[in-house]
Amino acid sequence: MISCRLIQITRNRQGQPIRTERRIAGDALRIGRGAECAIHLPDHSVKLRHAVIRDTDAGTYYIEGDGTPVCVNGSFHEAAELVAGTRISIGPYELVAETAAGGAELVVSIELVRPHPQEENLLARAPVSLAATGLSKRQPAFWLGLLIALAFLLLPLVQTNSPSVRQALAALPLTPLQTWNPGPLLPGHQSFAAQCDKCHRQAFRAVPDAACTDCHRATSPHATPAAAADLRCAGCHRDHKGKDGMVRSDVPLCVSCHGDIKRRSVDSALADVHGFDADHPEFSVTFKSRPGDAGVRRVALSDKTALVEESGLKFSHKAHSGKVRRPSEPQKFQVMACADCHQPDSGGLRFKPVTMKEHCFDCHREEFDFNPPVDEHRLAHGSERAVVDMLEHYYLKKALREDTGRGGRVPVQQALVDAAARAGNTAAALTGDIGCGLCHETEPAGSGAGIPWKIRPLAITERWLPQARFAHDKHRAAKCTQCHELNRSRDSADVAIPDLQKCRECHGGEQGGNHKVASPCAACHAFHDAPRAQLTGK
Amino acid sequence: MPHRRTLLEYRDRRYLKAASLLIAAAVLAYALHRPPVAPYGGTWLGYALGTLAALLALWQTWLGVRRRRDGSGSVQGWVSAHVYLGAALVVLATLHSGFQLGWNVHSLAYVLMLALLATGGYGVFAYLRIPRLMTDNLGEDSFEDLLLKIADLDERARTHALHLPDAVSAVVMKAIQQTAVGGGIARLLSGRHPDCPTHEAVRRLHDQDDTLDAAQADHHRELYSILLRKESLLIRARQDLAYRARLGFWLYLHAPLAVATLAALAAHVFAALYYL
Repeated sequence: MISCRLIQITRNRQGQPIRTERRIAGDALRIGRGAECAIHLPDHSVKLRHAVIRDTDAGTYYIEGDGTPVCVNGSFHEAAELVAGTRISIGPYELVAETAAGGAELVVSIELVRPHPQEENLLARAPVSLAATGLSKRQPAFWLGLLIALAFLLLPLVQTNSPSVRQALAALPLTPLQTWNPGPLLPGHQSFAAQCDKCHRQAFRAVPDAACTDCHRATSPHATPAAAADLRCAGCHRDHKGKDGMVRSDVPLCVSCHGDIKRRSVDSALADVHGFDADHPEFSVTFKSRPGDAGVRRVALSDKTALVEESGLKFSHKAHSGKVRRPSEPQKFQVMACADCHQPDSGGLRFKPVTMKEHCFDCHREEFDFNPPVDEHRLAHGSERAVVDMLEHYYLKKALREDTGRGGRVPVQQALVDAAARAGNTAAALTGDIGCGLCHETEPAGSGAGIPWKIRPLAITERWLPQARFAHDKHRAAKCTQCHELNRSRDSADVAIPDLQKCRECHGGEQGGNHKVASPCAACHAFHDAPRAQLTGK
Repeated sequence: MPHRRTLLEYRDRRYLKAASLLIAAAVLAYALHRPPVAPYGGTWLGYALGTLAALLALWQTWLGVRRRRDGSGSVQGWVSAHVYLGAALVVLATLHSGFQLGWNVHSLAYVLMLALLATGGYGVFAYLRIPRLMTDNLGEDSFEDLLLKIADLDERARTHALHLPDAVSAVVMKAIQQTAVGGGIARLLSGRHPDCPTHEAVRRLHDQDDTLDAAQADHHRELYSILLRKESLLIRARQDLAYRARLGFWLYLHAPLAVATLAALAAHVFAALYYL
């Protein structure tokens, strides 16, 4: 049976101990946090049953851990004897065995020497706001802004102004300066894509025309310098738009000047236009000039009296279309089509020139034969002189073979004189509707010539509308006669160029509409065609 | 219940009307515009839309900064203008671009602006939705009330745990000492703490321990009920923090994106003018 004086030590504000005593007794004194323990230490770092104090037969006391060692005088022991001054640490408490005042009685003092610090507030254990986690708005904003300004503003600027930096960066797949490029260049310009200053010659200044004309030297201007003073190449030609962006072909561009052409060019002879389907003037054909003609002869298709071609040829389209008789074999018929004479050229825009040798001679060979034939001589085609030479040659040969009737041959000297006279007579008769005159218009020759007439120089118009780009191959779905009304034409003076009305049957304005082909100005007109050069008809 | 006016309905939707007008005018001009080649920033309409959009962007920034500095009643008006005109800005900038995008600083500015709009859009959504959820979650309590109740329950749990076996006591003490309401960014935003010591303690105390004596069993029962109450309070407190975090989180993206957009915009304008 243990009898124990238990002294509870607390301290006042000055730190002086206040001792309160009570007596406990039992066979063994249990120490622990459990309520049933004689020495009750209500703290969670104390085990429910931490240790037990027992006595021995010899009258001494010892402490024994309940399953775990106990800290006695600073070291852990399964059990230890309690003598005066033995210090036992249990959790925050310190138990000290004191000298018994009355002999065998056990005296133990208990003091809370390591009180738990005030438990930290629930809020202090972890951040309760995003700001408290260290997340910042300013820092990422600053660095992101700085990074973008460096990479996309400063670096490109340094790159464009420093050749050495440009060279150093050239190998990169994407250089800083390229991030300024708003879009792909025209394929032809991509060879110098890295050199922005090839075109952008001055900072903060628009691309000058010289940047274009340095390479594009042959491009003709559209209008006189005075009329186009305020226009820039780049006004219409915008690069960095891929392969389609370069060429402006919109009607408003044309109408901005041609809608009121006098405002831009007071002495312009052109009519105002606002669109093909609106007020486009009637086409004017441009006849081919002859040497010595004064100026260009342009005639509106509506001016029927002036619309006369003076080609110098006599030709009937009616006689050369459909079922026709071959002049050389009148009993035979042949069906003739446009394409027999008019063969497209390699560009597909127009046709190869019609030539006598290729297109006429096959049927009209008889016109060139002599009757009776001598050594397959044939009338020459080329010049009046060649015709007369050939005739003299023919008559000379003929005379030299003829019998004089007096059993001898004509003397050569005589034959030469006769041949020249007969050739002159025959040649003089080849005008009108026979010989050369069958196809060619003739006019009186000067007095000194060998024959009294000469062939009128030819002026066959091949580009009727030189300001328009008409591609015949794009219109191949249509029959020729759908546009060219030539079936009834007997005269080569007839002009069979389709007029505005004919084109409008299929072609609408810029947007088309009404089942018509969309036809902006640029569908027919080229911007940089130098008009003056073309209007000469050469 | 009277209808609570939101920032979107500010002053009879004055800024909605202004923004709609702006958008309609821009769309109409774009539709009627006949650009020479294709619509892009360099036509006269492109420059006009771009200038307008840039000015609007600067004004938007100023509104954003002002909103941060001023916490008074007129904030709602500014936010309303910021939201509606911000939406209009995106339409203007899109039309300004002529729908042409590429790998360049010009498109970078555009994409950053879209990201800015997306975060701002979430902000509006959060402002409209979350306060109601917060009220539903807290009920009549305030966040501080919840914390006080939790502290009180902790104190009571501590007393009851003294009587229970060491293992139980350790779990409960851990729940008392180590349970946190807040946490890292992910925990703050989700409100979920997968390794919460209190959840663990609740799980541990769920099953009745047959080895306990009658008094201990009483403590055990009482402790379990305390922990359950604490757990439900914790869930609400954490949910409250999650709502607060979600109310503010977008701004951590929005503000840096705004600065980034302005920087890209400056580079875009400079590049466009430098190589005119």
